[in-house]
Amino acid sequence: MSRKGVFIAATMAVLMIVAAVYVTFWLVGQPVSEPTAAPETTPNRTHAAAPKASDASEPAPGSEVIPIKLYVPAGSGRSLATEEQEIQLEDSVQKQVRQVVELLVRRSASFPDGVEVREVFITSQGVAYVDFSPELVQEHPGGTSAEELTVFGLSHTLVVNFPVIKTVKILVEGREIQTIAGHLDLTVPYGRAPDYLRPESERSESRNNETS
Amino acid sequence: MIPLRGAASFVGATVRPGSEPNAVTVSGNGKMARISDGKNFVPVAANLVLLQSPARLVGGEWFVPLDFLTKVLPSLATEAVAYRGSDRMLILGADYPEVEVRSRHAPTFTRVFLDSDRAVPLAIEDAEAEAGGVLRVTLDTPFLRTSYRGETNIDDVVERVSLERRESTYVLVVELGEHYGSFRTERRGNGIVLNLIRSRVPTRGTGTAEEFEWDLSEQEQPEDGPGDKEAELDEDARNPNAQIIELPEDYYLPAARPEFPSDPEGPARLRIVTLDPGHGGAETGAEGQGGSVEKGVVLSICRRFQRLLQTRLGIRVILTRDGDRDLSLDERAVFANSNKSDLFISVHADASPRRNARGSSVYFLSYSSTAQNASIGGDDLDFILWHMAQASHLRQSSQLAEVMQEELQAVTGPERVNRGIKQNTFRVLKGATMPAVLVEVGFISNAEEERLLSSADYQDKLAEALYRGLVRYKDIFERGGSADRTRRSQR
Repeated sequence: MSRKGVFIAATMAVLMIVAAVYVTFWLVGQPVSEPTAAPETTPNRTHAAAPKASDASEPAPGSEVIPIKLYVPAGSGRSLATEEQEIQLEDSVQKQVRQVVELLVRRSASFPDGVEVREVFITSQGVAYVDFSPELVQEHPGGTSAEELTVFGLSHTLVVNFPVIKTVKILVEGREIQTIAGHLDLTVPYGRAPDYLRPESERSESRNNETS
Repeated sequence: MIPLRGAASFVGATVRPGSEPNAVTVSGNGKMARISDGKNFVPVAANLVLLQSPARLVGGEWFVPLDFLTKVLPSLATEAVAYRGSDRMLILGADYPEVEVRSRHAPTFTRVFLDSDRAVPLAIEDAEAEAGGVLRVTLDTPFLRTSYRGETNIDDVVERVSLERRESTYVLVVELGEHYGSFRTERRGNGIVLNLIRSRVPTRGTGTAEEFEWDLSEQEQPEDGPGDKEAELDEDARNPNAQIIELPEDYYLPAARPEFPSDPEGPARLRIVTLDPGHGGAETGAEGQGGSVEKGVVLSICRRFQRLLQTRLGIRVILTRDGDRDLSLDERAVFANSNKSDLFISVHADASPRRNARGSSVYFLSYSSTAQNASIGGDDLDFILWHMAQASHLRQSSQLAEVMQEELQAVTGPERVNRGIKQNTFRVLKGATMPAVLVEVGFISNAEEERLLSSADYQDKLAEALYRGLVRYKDIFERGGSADRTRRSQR
């Protein structure tokens, strides 16, 4: 019965994504899967114009930037570090999340080369489904730490930046996967990183604070 | 594994195709069980039953693990079902005794009541009936039904009572405390009452000799009078109507695990350890810049560790793979479960996108905060049941992780964060029904550690460290103590 529920949810997710793709295509005139080639998302700096609140009450998408935090492998290679970035303001959370995921995949050493973000979908319960191309698994270098940095780099980034997101579920080619590199169970969604993976500034004082 | 159709036919249950191609339903006794290919859980009526390994659909024929007989079949049968693993016998029919045991404490004596719904030949063995000794009552029946799970710490006359199954009998074992003095028995219906008398009447309170006499005289109609040590009863107590089906030799592969989770009252001895060299076959695991691969390094370390445990501790050690072959994560845990392992240790080499990452970690299973929202993703039911499997062993798993990592650090260097003891949601640990850890012996992605990890000398050092950790855990485990105590005593 629960499987059926998941199936229905997944089907609805796909339908809604398909609908979203069509609507966007129709409105914007370009496929949403193609990352917007705006200079704002280049790795180095953002050059976008400052918010022009006086111009219009509703600034058009792309004219504003917002600061975000990416979680990428720290120098120690055993935990995450923050990287401050700015991204274009989009007109929907879904698009905004997708932009962050794409930026993270480009910036973070914990995502193999060639990985593409296929779809991003957020449910009303706060689960972000992020669908990747098969390179995520095929090209993954392996190792527990590397896998942890991939999974929690993504989930921590999304949960910290988007209050609407509670957990993140990774899919590959639209399907649930058991694991990326043979360690973490990806049939469950992930949220904030465990203490030992967080940047030092975000670690809690008490040692045994690993929340259940 | 046993054929599902055969098992169902024993109790007259019917097997029908399920709503999905990889599922089948078994119905009988007005109840229905749903079996799914590759799943080790079975919804039966309103309950969920966890089997020791997944059901399999092979060539159109369904196979279920042996514990299906004890965990699922009874619900689908109109008659009582019992399975004796030692004799491979399935017993149908309720014509065996239902026995209940209870104890009652009084100031001057303690009474143990054994009640049976029918006559059972009983024999009392009192050779060791002394303070600190044992009194045994043998019930001459190969099967019985009881809800009694034993009692401990009753008082200082009777410390512990348990009902144990032997080859063809059951034995009520009464462990006597330091204030045990003597005993008297009396018949009571089909059962017996053991009056275990204190060595001294306590001076305090209401416990007086008179009261003791008075209590005894209140017995419900003693038939043979107290002091009767042999209570031989009707011969026809031995299940004339029970149907006994002997299963053919090839009817099962692994022996059934009696209960889930494992009986905490069982003797605390470490006998079987499953070592799981990570990855294997097409899945190489992580690779070093120098060309070493994780699957080979960890197999070599596991073999060394195995040798130490077998030669020095005489523990039985089995490897999930003793060679380079593919093995799924779930199969590894199932392997440990069906071999009745007392411990499961998965050995891995780590890797990081940062080449300078180095050091060891030992992980045990965590249930991430996200997992509490089980309704939001994954296979909920599957998750909840996997969850159950390892959950009852988490404390011991963390103790094992702690001592293992402490010993490893002596070789691999100190760890700053959490002392290298970590928790995460490892798929391979989830299904294990015993304490389980995942050991990361070092970073194969680090050039220096890669060189070390591929040297026989360093592999020996790691195996020695793991061995020392296991010896410490064995000590904790068999004493039933805590990890903190041994750590402090070592300093």
